[in-house]
This record gives sequence, structure tokens and C-alpha cells, in this order.
Amino acid sequence: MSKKMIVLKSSEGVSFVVEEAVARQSKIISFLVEEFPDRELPLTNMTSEILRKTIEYCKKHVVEDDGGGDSSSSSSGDLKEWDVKFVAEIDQPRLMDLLMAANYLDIPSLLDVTCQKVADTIAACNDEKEIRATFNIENDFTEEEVEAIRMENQYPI
Amino acid sequence: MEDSQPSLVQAGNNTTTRTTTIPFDLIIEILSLLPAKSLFRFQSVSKQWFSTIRSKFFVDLFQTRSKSRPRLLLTLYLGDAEEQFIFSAPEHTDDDKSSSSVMARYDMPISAPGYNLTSGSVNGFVCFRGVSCHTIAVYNPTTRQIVKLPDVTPNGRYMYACLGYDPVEDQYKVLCVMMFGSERQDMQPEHFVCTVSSSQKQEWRKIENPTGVDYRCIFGDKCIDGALYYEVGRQSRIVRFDVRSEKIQFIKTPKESNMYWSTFINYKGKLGSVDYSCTENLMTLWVLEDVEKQEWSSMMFVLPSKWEDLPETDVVSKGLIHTGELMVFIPWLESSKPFMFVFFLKHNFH
Repeated sequence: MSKKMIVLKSSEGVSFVVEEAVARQSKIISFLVEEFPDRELPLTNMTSEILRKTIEYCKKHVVEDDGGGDSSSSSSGDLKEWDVKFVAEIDQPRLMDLLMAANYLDIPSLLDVTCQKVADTIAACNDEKEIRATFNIENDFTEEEVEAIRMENQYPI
Repeated sequence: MEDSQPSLVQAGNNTTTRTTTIPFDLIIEILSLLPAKSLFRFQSVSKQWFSTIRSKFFVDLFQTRSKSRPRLLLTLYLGDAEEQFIFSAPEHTDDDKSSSSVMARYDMPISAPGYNLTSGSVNGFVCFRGVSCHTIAVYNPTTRQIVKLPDVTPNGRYMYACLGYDPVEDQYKVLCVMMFGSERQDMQPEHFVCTVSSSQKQEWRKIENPTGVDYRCIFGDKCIDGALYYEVGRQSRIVRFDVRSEKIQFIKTPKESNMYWSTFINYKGKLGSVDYSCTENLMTLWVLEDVEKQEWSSMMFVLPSKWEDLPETDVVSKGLIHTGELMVFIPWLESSKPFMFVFFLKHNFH
């Protein structure tokens, strides 16, 4: 029996044909598939590149159930290792896009992995200036305010 | 330009239409994954980060998550330096081998401003008392933040301070007891309470001791489920201070126990007392089953070797770890031997 396929369309209009089980890891897609069966699902705020990455993640994480009991395609240890490698290969701007995609499509495990990677990136920064530069955050503190926070946090001797 | 780069700021803050803005709930999620030390250092990234990291909501979320990764918080007396230090180490897990070594993280010396550690930790906070001055302070060893309480006036009396937490009102309070030495038989100890707060004025309030029971020394203290417990010398009695109602009550200890040589621990939400006056390789744990009826039960824990085979017979327990094993350690450290012994004892069911 052939597996049911669905079509996802990126913002550039590129169609991706995906197994339904793979796509259903997204709670949003799962809902849309039930509401609008046999229709292309346009994901207008996702680029082809990010959609491809998201599908790659979902393919790896799909739990295969071929009637012979549930068997995950990989052991949980291997999967964790794969996840680490998966996010390590993505550059900073695309990581943020992937994080947003995981949030938008509601894929909890991908959201966890990307959030952790962003947290690790922050923790690896040397100071607040590096964080602002990496994540494009505007510094809305005055010099005096920063100094006041620094003084407050000083170890009292 | 850089305007297509995603930004870790709150949605709506940025006027550039092409910028990907991260929703605020995701920012909270990401920040909650950071180590406490990083959060503390990076408060000054932006006003949004500052107000988020400092918010009660975020602190509570962080604490809940951090409790799922428990660490042992230990204080050690370094003999040759005559200093106390705070260390922390991850708890071992069920699948660990019977003996293993872990790297402890050195958190801070606690002798720095002439302070003495007065009590065990409560939700990761510890209470200090000035050695020469009359200052009492609450420390967070992870962030190294300090909240100083108003000075007290002991007037020549012994002073003892312990930190308590009331989970109902979500408040931390310090109980300060001032006692005369044995030469002043007629004077009762005085009890003062101060609510720890960074926003409101802190002051000491005197509380009454309606029991009229006298005592002149205090040993150890433990805060469990909104109550502070401490021993009052060789009197077979324990004081229970209700942190919320600020009422004092005395609890009788079992006749067979030796509370004078023991440590209080939290045994599954009840007061436990590890009795060190044991023989062979057994250690007794007394558990206060019912506060109102003052009923105790006892159980035995097995040491991995006989007392005399241990490198030091002076061991201290700070309680059970999440696996249900009783942790005991040797609280002495020499700079020539940069390691410490920690044992995890299983409950003896026989």
C-alpha cells in the first residue's frame, strides 16, 4: 500500500511532496490536513530553504509504524547526536528562521533543539556587546544605567 | 544592510518590516535554558532582558527547571587556610557505578567579609552572620548576590541566625535568636524575625515565646515545608518555628535517640534526624512522622565500611538525594588532597 503524500508550498511557490506521517509532526499541518484534505498547503512565510531543512528534520524524527508495532527509525541516543549535528551546521540567521518555523508550525521537538542551540550561542558570548552584535539587539541602556547594574552585582568585600 | 537579520527582541519593538522578530514567549524559553551565571552577567544586554531576567515569573520558572537538575551544595572547612568554602556538584544518578568521582564546582569562599555560614541552604540560598560585626546576610552562591539585613544588637549575647522559607506566602524570613550564656540563669532567649526583601524596608520584629522554655545553645537548623527546626542543646527537645505564622513550638525527641550528635535533614518533606551515635556500619535516621502528636519512626542506613575503616570518622550528612539514598561526607579538606569523600547509603530493609 502506498503511503499518503501531501504537498507543502514555500513562499517562493516551490512545492514539496512529503509523506503525511512526516508532515504531521507539525501540529498545525496535522490540523490543516484534516480540515483540508487533498489540497496543497501554502506556507507563505517559509522560504524553500527553511522548509527543506524543516522537512529534513521531520523525516529523521518520524516514528515509523508499519503495522508491525512501532519502531523508531533511530535510537534516542543516535537521534540526539543527529540533532546536535543538525543545528551545528546551520548559521546564525538561518537558525533563527528555523526557530521561527518550528514555532509557527508547532513542532515541539524542533523548537526545543533550536531554542537550546540559541541558548548555547548566548552562553558562549563573552559579554553583552557580543550578544547584541550576534542577535542584532539594540542597546537601550545609558552608560550610567549599565554601570549601576554592574555596581549592584559586585561581590561585596 | 543588516535589516534582514533576525533579531532577538520583542515583536513590535522594531520598525524594520523585514526583520524577523522573536515572540516574547520564545525569548523567555531561550533565557530559561541559560545557566544562572550567564543570566546574571547578561542582564545589561537590553532593558527587555533586564526586566525579564529580574521578573518574579521568570525567576520562579527558572527555579522550577533548576530543581529538576539537582546539585549538591556543600560547605567545606579548609584546614590549612582556616577558611570555609562552598562547593556544588551534580547529584549522581541511578545508573552510576557504586563508586565514582565527579568534578565539584567551586562557587565561593565564604570567609571573605568576615562572615560565618550559619545554616544549611534553602532553595539554594544560604544565611551568613558577621563574625566581628552584627550583620546578618542572605547569599546566593550561584549569582554571588547578597541581601544584607539590618544590624542586630546582641548586647553581649550569643547570636544565631537561620533562614526559612514559607511556600504559601512565597517569603523568605530570617529568625535570629539571642541567648545569654550559662552565667545568666534568669534570662530567656529572645527571638527576632526579619522578612527578606529587596523592595520593602527590612526590620527585625521581636516575637514572643509563649512556651517559656529556656535554652542557651542552638545546633543546626533545617527548613522543611514552611517550618524551621533546630536543636537546643542537651535537652531532648527541638524547636519548631512556623515561618508563616511566626509561632514557636517545642517538640520532644525519642528517648533512644541521640539528638546531640545528629544532623537534621529533609526526609521526603518530613523532619529527619541522622543519628551519628551508631555502632558498626549502621546509621539511624529518625523521622518526625506527625508534628501535632510528636510521633517518630526510625530506619537504618548501611555505611560501605565500618566506622573505623573510614579515613575520618567525622562524617556529616546533608540529606537524601533524589535516588532516595542518604548522602554523608567528610567535611574536611586539605590542600594536598584535592578531593573529598562522599558516600551514598542505601536504606537497610532487613
